[in-house]
Amino acid sequence: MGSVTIIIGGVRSGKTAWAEREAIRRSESAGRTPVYLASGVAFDNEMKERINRHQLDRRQQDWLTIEQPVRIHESLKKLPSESIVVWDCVTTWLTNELIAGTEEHQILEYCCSFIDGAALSHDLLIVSNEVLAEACGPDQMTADFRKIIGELHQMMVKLSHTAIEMESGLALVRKGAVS
Amino acid sequence: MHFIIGGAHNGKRKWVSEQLLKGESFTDIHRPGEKWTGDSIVFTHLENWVSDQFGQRDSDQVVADWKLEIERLLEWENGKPERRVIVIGEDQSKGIVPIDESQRFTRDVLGWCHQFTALKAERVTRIWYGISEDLKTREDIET
Repeated sequence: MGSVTIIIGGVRSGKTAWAEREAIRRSESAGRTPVYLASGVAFDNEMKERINRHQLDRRQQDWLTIEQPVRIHESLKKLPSESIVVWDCVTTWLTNELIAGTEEHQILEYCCSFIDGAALSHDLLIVSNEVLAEACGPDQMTADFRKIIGELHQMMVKLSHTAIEMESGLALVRKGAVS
Repeated sequence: MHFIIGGAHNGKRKWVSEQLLKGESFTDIHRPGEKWTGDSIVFTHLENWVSDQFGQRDSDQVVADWKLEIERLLEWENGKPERRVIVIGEDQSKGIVPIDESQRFTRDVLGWCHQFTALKAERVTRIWYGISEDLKTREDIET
């Protein structure tokens, strides 16, 4: 039986660092290699730099990196058994799906089946961005994105064993417990 | 009066209807002065009403109107023990200052309206993706 932890926080709140530390701690005690499930695509220099920064951060530790920009549930086939996984992050994955023209109900299904599948045997840590704390602008794509990310966050908090709101590097436990 | 606060699409309304009212019927109202029937009312989409006031009146007048509305709702609620007023507020306060003037107006006025609502409410609950946290309860007021 696996476990699911969702970490939601603002930009540069330390959510990825927290998830990575947690994954390393669990990996060391289980004697496993942690898995980094990356949804970011290096489509421009800025994104390349962001990815580089995250890769440098992970250099201290052996990680198995799996890239899964769309159809996140398909990563289940690629995960070694009983993996400790950091999925970073939901918002980039959602952006990729929307650009690919995936329908909202499919996006929710992909995510739901991924979490349900992972929860059977893996230790999953999901990282996502808080983007709903301001007014919505006039752009329709942004409005659609906000609605779907809200649905995804509600669903993930519901499906998770532990839900964390990250504030300036402080992990506020909103559901479950962190050992 | 119970004030519910949280970001957009965080499941505030769902929490009110499933966890708080547990399927009990209620009337939705969206504008100050609106009439209703029944014993439970839920005021939603205050942000739309505030946004509609942009260009019509200045911000102080809009906040003053909202204060009068809160007084009206409280007076009604206090009239009978079975009456219940719930106000849902969409938090728009944690982003970059919007370029658009009407959005700045809405964000400012909404923040003032929320402060007054929280002040007058006997219970304030924050909703974070379906999870509730009481920020203020009757016990807090009495102690």
